[in-house]
Order: sequence, then C-alpha cells, then structure tokens
Amino acid sequence: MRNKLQEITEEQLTAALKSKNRDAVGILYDKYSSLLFGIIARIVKSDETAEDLLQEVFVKIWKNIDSYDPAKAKLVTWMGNIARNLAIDKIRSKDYKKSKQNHDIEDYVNIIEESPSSGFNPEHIGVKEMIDILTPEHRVLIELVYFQGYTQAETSEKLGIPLGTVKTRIRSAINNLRNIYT
Amino acid sequence: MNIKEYISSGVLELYAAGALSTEEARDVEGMSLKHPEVKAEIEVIQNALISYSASFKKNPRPELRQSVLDKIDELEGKSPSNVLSDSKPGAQTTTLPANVSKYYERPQKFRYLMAAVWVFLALNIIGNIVFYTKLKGTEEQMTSVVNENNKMKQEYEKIKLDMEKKSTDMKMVMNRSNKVVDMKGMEIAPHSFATVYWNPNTKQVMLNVNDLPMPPSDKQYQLWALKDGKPIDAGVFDMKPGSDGDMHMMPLAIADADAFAVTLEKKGGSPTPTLTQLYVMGKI
Repeated sequence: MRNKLQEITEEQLTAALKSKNRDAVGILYDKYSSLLFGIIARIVKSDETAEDLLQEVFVKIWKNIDSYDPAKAKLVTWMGNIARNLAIDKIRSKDYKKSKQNHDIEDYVNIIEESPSSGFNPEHIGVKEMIDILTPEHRVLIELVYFQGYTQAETSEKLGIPLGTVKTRIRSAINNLRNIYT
Repeated sequence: MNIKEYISSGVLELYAAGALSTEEARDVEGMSLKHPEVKAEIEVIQNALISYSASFKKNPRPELRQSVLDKIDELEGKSPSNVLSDSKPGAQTTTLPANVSKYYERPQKFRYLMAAVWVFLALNIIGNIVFYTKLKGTEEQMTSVVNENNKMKQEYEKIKLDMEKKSTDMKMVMNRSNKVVDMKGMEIAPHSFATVYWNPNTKQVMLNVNDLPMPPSDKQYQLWALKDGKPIDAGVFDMKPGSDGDMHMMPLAIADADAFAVTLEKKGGSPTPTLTQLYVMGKI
C-alpha cells in the first residue's frame, strides 16, 4: 500500500484535490495523516485534541485547496503549515490556556528531554544521531519557533538572547537538520 | 545586502519556521519571486523542517480516517453512503493516475472479478452440456460405424467364400481332363443354353446354366447323362432369379457318358426323364 501511494506525484494529487475529487482526500489521508497528526500532537500534547484538530486540518485543506499555490511551496509544506498553525492557534486560545497551565520555559525543557515519539520513522536518520547533531540550544529554538509559534522577538525575550542571535542560531539549527536529511 | 548575505542571514529560516510577522514574510516572498536561488533555498529549508517533523510521525486511531472522509462529504452536501458513485455536477473532475485508481477501486474490481467468475462458470456449464451432447452424438456415430463395419466384415466374409468357391469352380472348370459339353436349346425353349464340365477321372460333373427359363415353383430341372441312349440321373438343381451363369456342382458322380441333357421334372426329380420336357441337350 505504501509503495502504491508513493507512486502518486504531488502534482497529480494536487490536481485531483483542486478538481474536488473526493477520493484524493482518502489518498491524502493515507499518505500524510501520520505526519500531520505527529506535528499536531507534538504541539497540543493531547491525542484527543490532536484528533479533533486533524479533522479540522483536512477540512481546511479541502476548503482552501484553491488558494494553494504549488509555485510557493510543496503540498506537504503547505499542509504542514496548516496543521502547525491550527495547533498553535489552539494552544494560544483563551479556552485552551485556561484548561492548561501557562507554558513556560520548563515545559519546553521537558519536551527537549523527551526522545522523539515512538512513531519515529526508522527510514529517517537514527534518533541518537539526530540528538547528537541538534544541540539542546538548537532543539529549544526549533521547538519554540516552529512548534510553538514564537516570533523572533518572543523567542529573543523568552530565551534572553538578542534578536540577531535568534536569527543566526536558527539558521545554524536548520543547517544541521539539512545536513542530516540531505 | 547581496543575495548571498540575504540567504545566509537566517531570515529565510525564520520565514520557513513561521517566526516572521506578516509584513516581513511578504518581503521574503517578494525576494523569492525575484531570485530563484532564494526560492530554492527556502524550499530546502522547508524540506528539512518537514523531515524533522516526520521524525515525530504518529498514527491517529484508524476510525479517524472515515470520520474525516464523512466530514468532507458533509461539506459537499452528500450523504456519506453514496459518495463513491456521486460526482459533483458540472465540476470537472481530474482523474487520478491509473495505479491510484486501481488501488482505490479495489472493491469495484472485486465485483468485476466475481462477475467474471460467474460468467466463467456459466460458460463452463454451457460448454460441458455442449461437449456432452457432442460426445453422445459421437458415441451414436461410433455405434453406427461399428455396425457398418460388422456388416462390411460379413459381406467381406461372404465375398471371400464366394471367391473361394469360384476359384475352386474355376480350377475344376479349367481341369485339363474335363470334357466340356455344350447343351443347346431344344424345341420347347430354343434359346436355352447350358454347359457341362465333366471330369471322367474324378467323375465329378459341373453345370453352368447359361440361359434357362425360371422353372415353376413346384418343379426342378434335372440333369441326365446319356450312355448308349440310356439316361443316368445326375441330380436336380435349383435356380434363383437372375442366377444365369451360376455354376452348379452336381451331387451325383457320372462314370461314363456320351451325351448330357436337362429336363424339367417334379420337385426332387424323377427316375426317368420326361422327354416332352427336354430343354437342352448336347453330345460329347
């Protein structure tokens, strides 16, 4: 099944979605649900909430596919951003903040100490290697910016480092990721 | 700031990670449109972030798939049950690549497969009936051929016997010791003719009926040998219609004779010939 799904190009899938081919959603789901769910679950830290959000993500993809521009980003990036933004909006919502404790830096340290989830894909780089390459500093940075939606300024404030350092440090963090994944 | 510096500044990473304000993000998108190398760099960064995200992959509960699809159907105002066959009126639907359709149409394919199996079975049964009927016909033909063959065999045996008889007759007829006596028609039947082959050594007499009228059913022809004017009974013979030319082996031996004659007598023959009924006669 996985092999079959991998035979579909992003272009074909995009075209099918844009023409509102309902079967394409099934394919999209089979191909990307675990990735999107992983992102959401990492952000909201609750599988139940994550499942609700995953549904919303697919609805949003379906509704907004017309505004997706393949020239700007790959489909998977676009969908990942939708998932990330929905989840970040959720944890920043008043209701959510009420039900959960205010997040402070200690929460992120806990996340950082966690090894990647059991759903970690062995086809990718080994956990150990990845942890070795991403220093705790880099991991915190990506966690805050990418998974928690902190702006440059917010990050700078949170970590007590200058704005420019946020910029250069995130560059070197992502460079490390690029070295691992390419 | 040149492009190289711009690329290595870290702003693209902030953009890809979503840490820029809307305005700043718009600036980056503008640069991306103008400079392909910026666009390429952004893509590499995005890929790295997605790959990193993929290391947190997690499967939702399997039931979620259906509820997602149902939700999409709800949006499209369809009841979830009849979605597969439905297509949005007027909407141009891009067909999925063949391999994908194949995968997703498996239940339908299965239905086709079942249909094919049924058709195959039906054809098989029809075929069997046809073959059985043909087999029956062949068996009947076979029987008739066997019967014909038997008939021909019998006929062959008969012909073989005839041939053997003819060959024996011929040998006897051709015997050098034979006396051949032509008997010519008398007044009562001038066209009649018969021939006697008499072997004085073996005393056997054979009669060839060349031409004699058919006798009435209560009468029989009788052959006589004449020696010094005295008749000697040589036996009666039967005639079948169209049996002219038949060779008759006469049952009685004749030791001596100087003439032969045939008379028509009562069935079984007479002790003395009825001279009014003399049909053919010939001298040796």
